[in-house]
Amino acid sequence: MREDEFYIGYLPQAPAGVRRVVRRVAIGLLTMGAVLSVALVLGQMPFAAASFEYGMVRGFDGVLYERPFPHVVMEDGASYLLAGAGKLGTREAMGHDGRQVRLRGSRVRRAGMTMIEVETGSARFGSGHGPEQVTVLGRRRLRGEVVDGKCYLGVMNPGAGQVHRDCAVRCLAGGLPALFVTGGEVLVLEGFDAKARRNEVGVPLTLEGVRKKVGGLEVLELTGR
Amino acid sequence: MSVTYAAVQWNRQKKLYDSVIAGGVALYLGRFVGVGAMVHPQATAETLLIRGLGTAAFLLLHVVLSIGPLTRLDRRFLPLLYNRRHLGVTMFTLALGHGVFSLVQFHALGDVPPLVSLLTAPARFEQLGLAALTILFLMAATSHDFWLKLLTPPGWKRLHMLVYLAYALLVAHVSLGALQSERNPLFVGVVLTGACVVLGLHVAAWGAGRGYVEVCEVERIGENRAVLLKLGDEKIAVFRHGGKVSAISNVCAHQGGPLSEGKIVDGCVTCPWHGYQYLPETGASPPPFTEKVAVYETKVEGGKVLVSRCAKTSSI
Repeated sequence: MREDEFYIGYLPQAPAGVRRVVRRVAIGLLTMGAVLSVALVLGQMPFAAASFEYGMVRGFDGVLYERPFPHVVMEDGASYLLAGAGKLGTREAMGHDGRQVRLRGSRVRRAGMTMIEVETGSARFGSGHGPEQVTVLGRRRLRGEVVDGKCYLGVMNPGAGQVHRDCAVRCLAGGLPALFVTGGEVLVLEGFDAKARRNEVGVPLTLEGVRKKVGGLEVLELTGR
Repeated sequence: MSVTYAAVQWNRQKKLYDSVIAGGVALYLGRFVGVGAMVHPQATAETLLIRGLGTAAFLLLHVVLSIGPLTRLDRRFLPLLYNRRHLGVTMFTLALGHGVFSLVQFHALGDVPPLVSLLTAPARFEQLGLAALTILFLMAATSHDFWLKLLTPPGWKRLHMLVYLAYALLVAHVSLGALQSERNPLFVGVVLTGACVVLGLHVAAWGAGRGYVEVCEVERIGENRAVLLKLGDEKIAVFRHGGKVSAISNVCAHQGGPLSEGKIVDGCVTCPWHGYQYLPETGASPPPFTEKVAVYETKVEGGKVLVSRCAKTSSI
């Protein structure tokens, strides 16, 4: 760029030296953007192997139980948690504890756990069954993170950690099942007052309670803080 | 230059500038989402878009903030300043996209309205982002010359200086949000490097601004004559004599005569009003006289005369 060159933006052509400098700056910035876009996307934490079959609606038959959270016990003994649309728990189960149910919904799956986002109004109820089998495994003091089941199991990815924290608070306030993600296992969390303890959602936390198995669900029932 | 208001007074340079911005943003987002979908097949499109839009806006803000000090340090960067407001509006649009997608993703379809959910959320980093976005909105909305006239240049400038508050809020937003979840040191490195570049350029430009100010080409000052330099309230007489350049206060110690209209006679700056004299190097009257005026540092670089902003010696 020569000393006497002077750039005036509204003139059709910039001086040759100015053009050269600006071209270099633009190429440099575009190159930096190209490198950073790839580096940042590759540098992210890995995403969990989880899935949400959005828009893929299936039929499910089983026995419905309301506690600790609404779930359906399938013929093979597996228990599928139930969720409503958006960030709300399902209302389909209310008042039908222990009854045969046929419903429609979309699966949410992660690491052997399954949830059904129930299509509103799709549940049809049949005859009653006996209470669900509960096996108490003893008291446990565990460290982990409280998350909402729907996002963690695959509707969002990541469905845990700081960036998801406020979403988990909203989902739990809406009545979705609470999970406690520990280093070794993922437990359904019973007795966690999600509204009163909203500041403890999505952060490392130690909880003490009774570890039990409710049908096919692994559960931690809170009995103290 | 214009006598009427128009949404954008398009010209070839602005179209070129905006084409590069649009192309760069499209390439960045395309690569981020495209590569992301390939290497992270489990990631949802919404998540990749939120992250792509957020990182693009944050990186672009660094470019916006760097242009000002760069132009003060080196005038070759001045063309980048010409259409900077379009760069700022683009950055705001990206940030808005990030914010809206995040609001829908994390707060919509719940038991309370999305904004209530956001404003009462415990993690706080999203509220910092919302505060920054509000500032960026005010800046983008008032980026037109209509608002410059309405708010007056000082008022408009004060409003737009809030970009530094927005930047600080966004650094906190990223640090308390994404950096808490991402383990790769690359992310901390990018944020720290960006902050160092922005801060470093501003400190360097501030230092350069405090140093010297360009007066004119040395040939424009006649031999043994002066030109007048106004620096705020200060008036400085810049003389050329015997292959040297000297700068002293323009105000004669006698009755305030304009020394820049005087001449160097017998090696002394001589006031045009009453002939009071001062040595150009020291500002002191030759003995036995005791008057003295302030002296400024000078230098000649590339044929240009530069004078220090601060006096080397005072008139006392």
